[in-house]
Parts: sequence; structure tokens; C-alpha cells
Amino acid sequence: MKHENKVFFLIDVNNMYVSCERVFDPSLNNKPVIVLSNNDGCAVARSNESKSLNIKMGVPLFQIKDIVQQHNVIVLSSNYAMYAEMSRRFHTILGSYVTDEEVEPYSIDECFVDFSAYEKNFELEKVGQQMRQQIWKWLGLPVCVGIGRSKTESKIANHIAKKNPGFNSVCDLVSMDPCNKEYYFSLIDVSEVWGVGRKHAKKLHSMGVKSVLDLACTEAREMQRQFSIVMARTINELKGISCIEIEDTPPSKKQIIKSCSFGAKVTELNDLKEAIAMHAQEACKRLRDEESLCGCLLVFVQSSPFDESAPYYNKSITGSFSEPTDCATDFVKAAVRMVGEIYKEGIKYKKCGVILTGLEPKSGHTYDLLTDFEHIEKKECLMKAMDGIHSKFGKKKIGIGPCFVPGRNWSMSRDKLSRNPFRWDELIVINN
Amino acid sequence: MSEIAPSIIHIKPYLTHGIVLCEALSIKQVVPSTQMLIPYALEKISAGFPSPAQDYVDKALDMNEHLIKNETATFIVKVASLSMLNAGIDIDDELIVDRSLDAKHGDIVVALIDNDFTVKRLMIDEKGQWLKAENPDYKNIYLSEGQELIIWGVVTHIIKMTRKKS
Repeated sequence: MKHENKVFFLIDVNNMYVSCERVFDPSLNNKPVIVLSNNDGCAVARSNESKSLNIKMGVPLFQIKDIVQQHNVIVLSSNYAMYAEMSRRFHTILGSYVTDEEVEPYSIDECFVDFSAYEKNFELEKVGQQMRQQIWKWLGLPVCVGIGRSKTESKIANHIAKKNPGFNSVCDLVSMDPCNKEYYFSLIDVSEVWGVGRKHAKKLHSMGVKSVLDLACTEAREMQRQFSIVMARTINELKGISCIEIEDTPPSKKQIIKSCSFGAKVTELNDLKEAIAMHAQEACKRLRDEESLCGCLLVFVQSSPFDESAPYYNKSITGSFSEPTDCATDFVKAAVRMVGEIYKEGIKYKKCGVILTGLEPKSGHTYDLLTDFEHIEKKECLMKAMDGIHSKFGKKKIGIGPCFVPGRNWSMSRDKLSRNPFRWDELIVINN
Repeated sequence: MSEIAPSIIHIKPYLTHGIVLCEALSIKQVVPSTQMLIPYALEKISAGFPSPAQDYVDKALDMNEHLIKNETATFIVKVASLSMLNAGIDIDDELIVDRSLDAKHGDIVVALIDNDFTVKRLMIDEKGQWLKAENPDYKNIYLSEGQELIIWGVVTHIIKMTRKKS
């Protein structure tokens, strides 16, 4: 059968953000480090040292203040520009092992590789070790490699490689003795399986399906009736029957989200308007990069869910454009008006944002009979000029409203931002 | 000319996806390699008798191609030390570092000693590996017991601004 010939690798960077920071600041090595989410809210990456201090993923900084102080945990802001460049290089290296159709950058720090066509010519574990060593030498990033007969299996293999140092960071389930495989599967909780959510894990537990092995031993068709086709597919994948193919072309975006929490709590409508104007412009930029038009705009504001002294406020509003657009002035005008509609006095706003939906490719749009083409042309010329200025002088040189003027009341705080070593004015400096 | 018809809906589902998710979506790929092409004159033209431009502009110089052999493994660092002055490395010079190369004896390397960056010449002899400073005022680095030398990358080129900023 065809499925028996499939081989998938899942390569995953250990503690990606922390590992990136360490490449350019080796003084962070062997120390507890955490990287915070945007606006320095929650811990989104932790070094192994921080994990063993029992700092959980996603925990807000204020909840771990004591641990941070007591153990001198180094706290960093997230430097997405730098992580993105390291991620690009990570995926480029893995892309060199196979053809473009056989590699799927799954996230910033994870990559699937379909190695089926080459299985006969290589020893899989050796290939995994080679990938690991190459990424370590070229980029200084530590990775784990999981190898399996399906994507789900390669995910589990990766998990095994991560948790068991004996594997030397590469776990090949394809060549593993079935008894060993069962043993490892029996040790892992079913919630770790790719595609099994928290809710389903709970239900599975109540049914007595506790470990990965338990799930792999269930009858796929029977489980489909109780859950869904997705669960059946997952079970088949665990049995080594590949059901999920490599997605080499990411599906075109359904929506564009741009939001961010504020550096300080915001109460004034004017500040909200400035912030929303910036999100609208940045979302529009992304829309234009993808050469799409947007038909529907959603604007939302919210207060902090952690603030116990005030009730949680969370409001949104949608509006549709009479004609799909990709012009920043349309977005800013609409967003500013809409945020006025949902603004309520006396709320301490923590976050606001826009969501662009109803996207369609610009090239495929049919304008209706009454379209004022002259007006559209004019707007397009304006946007082209703005795009040109952005790419030549930087994206903060021109904008609508005062949002790019430094020192806004709502500006994001990134106190502990490391430098971006991929910019000429922020190169790493060698002092010795 | 867009009309917005406001209607209020709840957006809980978007919010539960959380900040992390929207940030991941916002990541753009950064392409560090731009191409700067400089026409390369292959032969001199005799005065008064110009040949068509295509005849003498044969190949354009690409500085990236010339200076960077392996884009994926190349990093650029800046120097703030005089310890390699006699090797031509001054303060504020930029170094092109290729991490994919295996360092050999005599290479100028960026290395880590006790998790600190240093740029020196790598020496491999009967004493083992040590780092040579190219400036008599600076000391060579010999590894003491338990100290580890990690080669961070091999320096392939020095970018030196010859016209100091005024």
C-alpha cells in the first residue's frame, strides 16, 4: 500500500526565542531566561533553566515576579524581526534537503519535511543527525528531529526526542522496534497528540483512553462516530497511515489581524483613535503586500482581563465597505469612526485592534457599473506614493494621523528589547 | 467613498486565539540580500571612438555574490577592539563571518571564551588550540584548565570604511 512508503521529519527549534537571543548574546547561556510576549505581558519562551524553576508557558510577568527576583531570571522583550530572520534561515537549510514541494514551514520554529522519496537511499536517523548538526553549526540553534510514517507520528517522535536525552535529539519511529515504540507511546499523555485539543483529551480520558498508545489502539471508524473525521484521521496517522499531506503552498489568508496591547492603560478616545489608525494602516500594508482587497472591517477594544478592580470590557464592531478597498485612508477613516462607536468613558483600555475579512484577490475583482474609476485611480496613486516612501525611507516616515510620532501615550513597551543583529546600526559588537 | 454600516458583534472567538497567535501571523520574512550591481568595465574604450555600451559592460559586479558564499550561514559583526590592529582590523570595522566554514590554523575567527565574544587568529599547533592577538599591546589567549574555546564563525572579509565620517 502507498501509505507504507511515507516518511515525515518534524524539525523543531528548542526554545526558539531564547535560543535566538543566545546566539547573539552568549552571556545568556546556562542562565534562566524568559522572553515576553509583545508589550512585555506574558512569558512566551523559556530556557530549560527557567522551565525547571517552574515558570509556565504564557504566565503573566507579574505573577512570577518573586521567582524572577529570587533566581535572577533574565527577562527579555520579544525581538520578532530577529527571530523571523533566523527562522527564514532555519527553513532554508531544511529546504535544501528536498524539493520545494516536500517541505512545509509549519510555524516560526517548526518544519515538516516529506522524505518518502529518499528513504531507500539514506539511513533516516543519520539524516536527522545531519540536519541537527548543520543547523547547530550554521545558525547556533539547537533542534530536535522526529521521524515517523505520518505527520502526527513525526510530531510524537519529536516529543520523545525532546523528553529523553538518550536519543541525542533525534528519534526515528520508522526504524524503532515496535515494542519500544509501544513503550514510549504508553508513557505520553493523549493530550500531547497533534490535533487532540484539551476538550477532546478530557473526553478521551473519561473513556479510559489515557496514553498515546491507548488512542493508537482504538478503532478509527468507531471513534469517528463519537468525535469527528479529524479524530479518525489522527488515529490512523498514529497507526502509521499517513492521511495529512505536506502543504507546500500555504492557503491564501482568510483574514488579517493586527492588534497590540498598550504600554500603559488608555482611557482617552483620542489615544484609542491614534492607535486604531496605526493598526488600520499596518493591516492595510499587509493587505497590499498580498495584493488583496478587503470588504469588511472589524474593530475591537478591550480592557485587561487580569484587572480585578474593574469589570472586563470587551466590545467590537463590524462594518462593510460599499466597494472592496486596499486604500489606507478608507481603513483609517472607517476604523476611527467605528472605534468612536464602541468607546465608553471610564474604561481602562488595555488593547485594541482591527481584523480585515472578506478578502479577495485584487486581480480578480469585478467593479460594478457605477464605480467612480477616476477616484479609485487617484487613491491608488496616493497609496503607491506612500508604499514607495515606506520602502525607501522606512515605514514610520509617513502615515495618516499622528500614530508614528514617537512618545504616544499608548505606545507599546518593549523595555528589554535586544538589538537586531541583522540591521547595520545594531550589529553585534565584539569587544575583545 | 466607503460606507460603513456599524453593527455590533461579539468577537470572543478571535480573542481566545490570543496575542501569541496574532503576533505569529504578523511575522514577515526578512530578506537580507539586496543586490547592488556595479557595471564592470572589461576593456577601455579609445577616446573619440565610443563603442556601444553593451560591448564593454559585460558582467555586473554583485557585491553580495563576491563577499558572501553562503548567505544562510553568514553574519556581520562590528569590532570594538584594537587587538587585531596589525591584521588590519580597527575599531568600527565590520566583519563578514561565515559559520558554515571549518576553522583552520591561521584563520581569523570570532570565538567564545567563557561566553564572551572575541576576535583573534586561531592557532593550532602542538600546544593545541590558542588565540593569537595581532597587536603587541594585547595578550594571546591560552586556554586554562576547564576553559572551553568555541568557534562562533570564521571571518572571511573585513569591511573597512576608508573615509571616516566627518
